[in-house]
Amino acid sequence: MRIISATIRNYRIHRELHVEFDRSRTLIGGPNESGKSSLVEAIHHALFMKARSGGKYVARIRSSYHPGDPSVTLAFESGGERYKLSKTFTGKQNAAVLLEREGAETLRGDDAEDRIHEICNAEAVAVNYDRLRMQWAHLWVWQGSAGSDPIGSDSQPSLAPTERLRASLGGADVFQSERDTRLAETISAEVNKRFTQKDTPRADSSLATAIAELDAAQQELDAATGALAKLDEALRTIDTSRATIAECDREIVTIREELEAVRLRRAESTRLNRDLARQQLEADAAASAHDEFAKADTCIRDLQAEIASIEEQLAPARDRRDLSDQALMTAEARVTAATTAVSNIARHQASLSARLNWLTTCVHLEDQKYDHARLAERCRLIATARTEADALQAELKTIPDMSQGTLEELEGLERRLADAVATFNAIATRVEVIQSELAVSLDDVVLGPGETHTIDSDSTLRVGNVAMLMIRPGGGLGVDEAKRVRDAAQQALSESLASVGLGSVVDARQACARRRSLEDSLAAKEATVRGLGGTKAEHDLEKLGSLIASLTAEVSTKKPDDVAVPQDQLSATALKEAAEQEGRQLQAASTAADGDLAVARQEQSIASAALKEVQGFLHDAENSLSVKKILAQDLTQRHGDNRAPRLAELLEARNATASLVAETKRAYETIRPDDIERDADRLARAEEGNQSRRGAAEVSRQTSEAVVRYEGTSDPRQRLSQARVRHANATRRHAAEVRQAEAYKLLSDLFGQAQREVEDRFAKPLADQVTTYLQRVFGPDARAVVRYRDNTFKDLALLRADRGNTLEDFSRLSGGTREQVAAATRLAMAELLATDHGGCLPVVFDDSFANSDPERIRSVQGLLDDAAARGLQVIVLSCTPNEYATLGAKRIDLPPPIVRVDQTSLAAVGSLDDEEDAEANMEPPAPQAGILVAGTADDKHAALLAELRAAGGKSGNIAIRRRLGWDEPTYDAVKNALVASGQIETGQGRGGSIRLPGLT
Amino acid sequence: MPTTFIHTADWHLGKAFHGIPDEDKRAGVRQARFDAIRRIGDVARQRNAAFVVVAGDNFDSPQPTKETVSAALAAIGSIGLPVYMIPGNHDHAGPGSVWESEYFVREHQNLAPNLHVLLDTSPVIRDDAVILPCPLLRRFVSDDPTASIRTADFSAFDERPRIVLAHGSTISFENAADGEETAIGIRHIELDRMPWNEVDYVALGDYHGFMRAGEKAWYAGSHEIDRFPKTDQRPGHIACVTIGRGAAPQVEPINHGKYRWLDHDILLDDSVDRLDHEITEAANHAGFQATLVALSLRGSVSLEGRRKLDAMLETWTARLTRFDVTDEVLLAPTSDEIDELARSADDPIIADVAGRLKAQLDASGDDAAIANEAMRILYGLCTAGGRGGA
Repeated sequence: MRIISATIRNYRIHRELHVEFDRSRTLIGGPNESGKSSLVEAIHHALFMKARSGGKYVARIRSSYHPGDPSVTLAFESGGERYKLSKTFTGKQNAAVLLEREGAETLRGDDAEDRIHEICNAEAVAVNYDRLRMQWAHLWVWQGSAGSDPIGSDSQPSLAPTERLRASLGGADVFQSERDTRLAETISAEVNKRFTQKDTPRADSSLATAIAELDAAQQELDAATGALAKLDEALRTIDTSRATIAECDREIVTIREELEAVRLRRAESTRLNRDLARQQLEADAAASAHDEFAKADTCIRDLQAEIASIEEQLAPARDRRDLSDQALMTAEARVTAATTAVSNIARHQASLSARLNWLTTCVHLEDQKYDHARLAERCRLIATARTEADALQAELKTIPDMSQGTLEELEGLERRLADAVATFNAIATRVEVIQSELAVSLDDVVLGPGETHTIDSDSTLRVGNVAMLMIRPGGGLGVDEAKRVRDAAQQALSESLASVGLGSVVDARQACARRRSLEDSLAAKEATVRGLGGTKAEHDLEKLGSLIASLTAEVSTKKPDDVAVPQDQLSATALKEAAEQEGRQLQAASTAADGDLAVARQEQSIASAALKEVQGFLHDAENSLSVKKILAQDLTQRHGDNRAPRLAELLEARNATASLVAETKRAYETIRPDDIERDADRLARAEEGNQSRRGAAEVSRQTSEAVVRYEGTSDPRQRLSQARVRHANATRRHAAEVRQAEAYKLLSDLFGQAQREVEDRFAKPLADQVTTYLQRVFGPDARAVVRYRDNTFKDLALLRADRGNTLEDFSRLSGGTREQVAAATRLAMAELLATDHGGCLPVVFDDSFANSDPERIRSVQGLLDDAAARGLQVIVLSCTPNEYATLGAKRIDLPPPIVRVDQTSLAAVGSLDDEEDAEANMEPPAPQAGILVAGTADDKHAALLAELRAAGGKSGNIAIRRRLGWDEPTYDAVKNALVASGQIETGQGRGGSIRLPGLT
Repeated sequence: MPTTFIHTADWHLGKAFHGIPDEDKRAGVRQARFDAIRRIGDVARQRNAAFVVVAGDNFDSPQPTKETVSAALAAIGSIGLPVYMIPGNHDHAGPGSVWESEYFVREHQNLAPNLHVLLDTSPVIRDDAVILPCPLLRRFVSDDPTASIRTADFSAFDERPRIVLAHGSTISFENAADGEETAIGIRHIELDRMPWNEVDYVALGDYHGFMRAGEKAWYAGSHEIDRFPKTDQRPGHIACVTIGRGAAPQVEPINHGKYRWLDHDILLDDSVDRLDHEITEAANHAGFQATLVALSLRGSVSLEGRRKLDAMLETWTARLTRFDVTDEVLLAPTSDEIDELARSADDPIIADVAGRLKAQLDASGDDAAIANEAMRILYGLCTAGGRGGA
């Protein structure tokens, strides 16, 4: 179908407007309120609104400016035919509709309406304004609805395009049949009968019953198995208990036999013990008797042997004693002789010693005398030297005290004077009178010839009276200084010489030499005195004299009688040496005598000891002998001489009793007396243990017998058998139920999968078609996704590579993008649907890219151009037509609006596009295309209430919002406020509904 | 002078047959075991038997209910001949067993004075025979129960024929049906060590089929079948035995039981109708009420075959006394069926699901079972209420 031209009259703002459309691309420009939307609405109503529509509908389009009924004349092509359609909307029965076709009969009235309906493939309308506007909603983008989802829930009020599209996309063969749907629902219901939302078995389902039965059967099986196991256990217990009891009984008999044996052993043990004690006493006595006799016998024998031995030793001992006596006497005689010799020599030695001492004193005296004489000579020499020294000392005192130092000082002064004089002389002027006739005087001092005078200051030299010369020595002040130095040196030397009493330095030198000579001599003399001992020698001489005197007295007093006093040193010495010689001889004799004495005493001691030893031995032996003889005699008397038979007899008795004891002991040990009580205890314990074990087994047996006791009321084995069968049946039933439930689930899944696949397959051509358009705007990687679910297309979404290829749901896209995606989708749908309309359908975009940026609008023009190139008729209405300059469309500009201020109702509405005539104003205002969206809140409240009343007091949310042309948030805000204030109520229905209070 | 007697065993009185879900049917099977005892009296009189020996497992349990005890003793009393009985492993003697209970003793006196319960190895010396009992006093006995025979003093028995009455296995065989424990290696009777010169007949119990176990040893088998028998097993018999001292025994097996226990292993190839026919044929012998069938089904069926099979199984479950089905039949929908499910292009989703399910039928284990079930459900839903749709 293609619109060729349209002429509208008395339609809203238009009095008369004729527009020729391009076959492919038409751009209708015009400022706001120039009637662009009215134009496309008029064309739409011509096609879809019956001419005889009620006044309510007609009132909407009736012009407030131009009298007369609104009418539309439309020229169009469809199926290769050209048509001319004229409709005049009177709101009454006299409305006119005329459909002319070239070369065919002209149709009127309902025939014409039916034909148009057929051509447009539209449903019968004029029932309701919403549905009217939804006709070709996919092709007709009403102002303000460009961003709505062309296939989504917003479009739900009209299923017609969907069904038509569905038919265009492949028909019934790819879609599910009614039976498909019904079966899927049945299966889904079966699944729901069995499972909850959480996929757990539903409580009232057969599956749950089967599970419960299986659980119960399992419990019963466990119980029956347990009961039988208990029974079997009890039977086993009975067996084991009985065995235990029998075993204990056997054991107890054995234990008791062993106990009797122990008792017998205990009696035997007592008897043996008693016997043993007695036998031991006897054996001890026999042993004792034998031992005693044997001991005495041995003793006698020993004594006899000892006596014989002693007697044998006595004779040689006595001989030895005699010999020792003699030796002792000899030794004693020798000791006496030696003692006498020693004492004689000692006497001699004492006498000689006294003499020697005296002689020593004599020699000492002579020595002292000699020393005294020598010392006296030395003292004389000392006295001489002293006298000479005193003379020298006296002379020395006469010579001035001129030391070498003093002399050197004088010599220094003398040198200094000489230097000063020399200096002075060098400076001063010397005047010498060589010869003169006249008296020459210098400073009044007459100078004779040859006389020299030194002038050291300005002096007047007079030569007679002839001449008087002033002589001025050179050097200036230096002459005075030299002269002063010279004079000072002269004075110092003079003073020094005077202090030592000498006239000159030569004198001083002489005095110094003499003095040094004298001092040397004096020192030599004093050294001589000291070398001779000086005063000490004289003192020693005096002491020596005293000693000589005392020694002389001693010699005199101690002089032995038989000796004369020696007269000199030599004789004294000779006498002393003779005495000393004699002393040495005596000493040798004394030593020899002492040696003899010692030897004699040694011999005496040895002889004495030998004698004492032999005497002791003899004494002991004799004593011992007599004692042993007494003992032997006593023992022999008591035990007799012939003891052997008796001894043998006693030994035999001893052995006999001992072997009896050993035998009894062996017998006693054989019966293990120590073990008897332990064995008795052990056996008693064992018996007790067995009794106790038997008792326990008895209890166990009785208990178990009670368990297995035949009651005859139920058979545990039959119970188990029944439980097994029941369990098996329950298992089978459970398996069957599970299988069935799983089968339903499987079917449900498969139906779901198949439906989805079919649906996806079904939606694919549309999605592909949309994609081709989308790529014009969003590039080659963009893709559209459309699903077909529950008999509707839905879930329009965009996939873009640069957005990560994640599904962007249409509703979440930006306003501009929504417009573009919606446009692409509409064009795609139109293209698909166009196959039923001779390959062409008009697509109207009324200010449909208001939110798109200039860049996108340029892309959109390419998209629109594509659509046109594919055969669609693209009609774009815009208040900014220049933006579509590149579309290459036929441009039609509508003139600016005519403003009529006298129409108060218009002013109230604020839009010439939505003019209302007086009649229409009697009804609640019917706002359009988003105009009121910009109004105040109260305006919006009033508008919604008015629209609701116009709709008969109730309406679906989506339908009324669409009529109001509001976006969702605006609508929701207004609706919620009205609901809150109680002015409207919410109702049921898909997408929700609202109603005036009191309506149901 | 030969002696004739009846040898029977393994009565298993009081066995509950819980595997039979229906209570009435279960009661019938239980009752049949008592009825069969009463018929033993008739057979004995017909064959001029002097007495009856029962070789153990007379009761199914050592502690049968009083009702079972009374019913058993009443039936035994009705035989009218001396009945010699030893306990077997199922009803072994010992503590808590029925044999020593006051109730049993009382009812024994009241209802079956002809019954001789032999609880020890003391020989029973009759004029016409000596019975050497080997009773079991425990459930599990590792020794040879007939060990006492090897040391018995036969000198007192002169020329009377000697019958050993014992319960146990002579070969290693299993009786694992109905949840019984296996009997391998226990209660093993060493026939090789039997003093055969002194013994003329060994009357055995334990194996539920009639069987010759040795030159002079027989198992009588159970008098009324109590389980699905193994191949070649001959349950449901009693033996009529004629013996003389030193002579070979003459043993006649008598088919005695009323119930038929049939074990079928069927490989299905979509021939469900043939299966139905086979079961009908089998059940016609004893009638539905006396027929028990264990059916092991394998093979594969189409969806329609499965539907028929399910209906058939439902029918036979109701008709037969017991109908155990091990159903391992695989579902193999035909391409027509799959197409039908798909209903050409009209139901694309169902078609898709059916295709996916078909692929899963070839899986293994639980997944395949679930897929099978799902396919059945889908088929059922699609065919329910006529071809018009669900």
